[in-house]
Amino acid sequence: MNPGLIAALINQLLIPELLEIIRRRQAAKLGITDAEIIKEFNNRVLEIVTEGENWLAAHPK
Amino acid sequence: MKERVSLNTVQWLIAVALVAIVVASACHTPVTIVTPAGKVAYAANEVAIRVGELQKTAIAAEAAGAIPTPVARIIITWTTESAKVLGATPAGWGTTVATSWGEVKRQIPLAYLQNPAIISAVSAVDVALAIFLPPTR
Repeated sequence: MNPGLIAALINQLLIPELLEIIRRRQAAKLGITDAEIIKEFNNRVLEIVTEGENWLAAHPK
Repeated sequence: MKERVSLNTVQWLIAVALVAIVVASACHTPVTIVTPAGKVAYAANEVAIRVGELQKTAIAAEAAGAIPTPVARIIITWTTESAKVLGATPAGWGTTVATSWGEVKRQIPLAYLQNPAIISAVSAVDVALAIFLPPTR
């Protein structure tokens, strides 16, 4: 693969994503607790499942 | 010519070094999360964020006509099932989610995986799985 293309992919896709992970980690340092992250995780899972099942029900094979 | 090659090499090494530093930094759990359950939930949550973003992106891309409904159905079936696995086994989702993600990517034609409408969300899932995949026992 062209090194320029690889560098462009890293710049446009990989680095922003990794920086976002770091940003969230830094934000978490402000005081997110174990209980809060567990609650956030459970709520997020429920949201994804609900949204996905609703879409799949509305778009049957 | 030689100087240009050297400059390209230096730029490439800098890019690789930056990525390595960022990846190494991103792998650590926040210091305020101290229990094993919290650390497990943090890692699973980071993956769930990208799974949820992929799902929203696929729904929007299908609605806009950027990807066909059958392709969106493959993605959204995976995101939904993966979220269930993450929720049910936050410490043991790795093999199931990573393996099924590989299967999903094989089912979808490359042209759709690389579609500008979804490529960023697809890459984000790849990165999150690479960083937060729990070790197998």
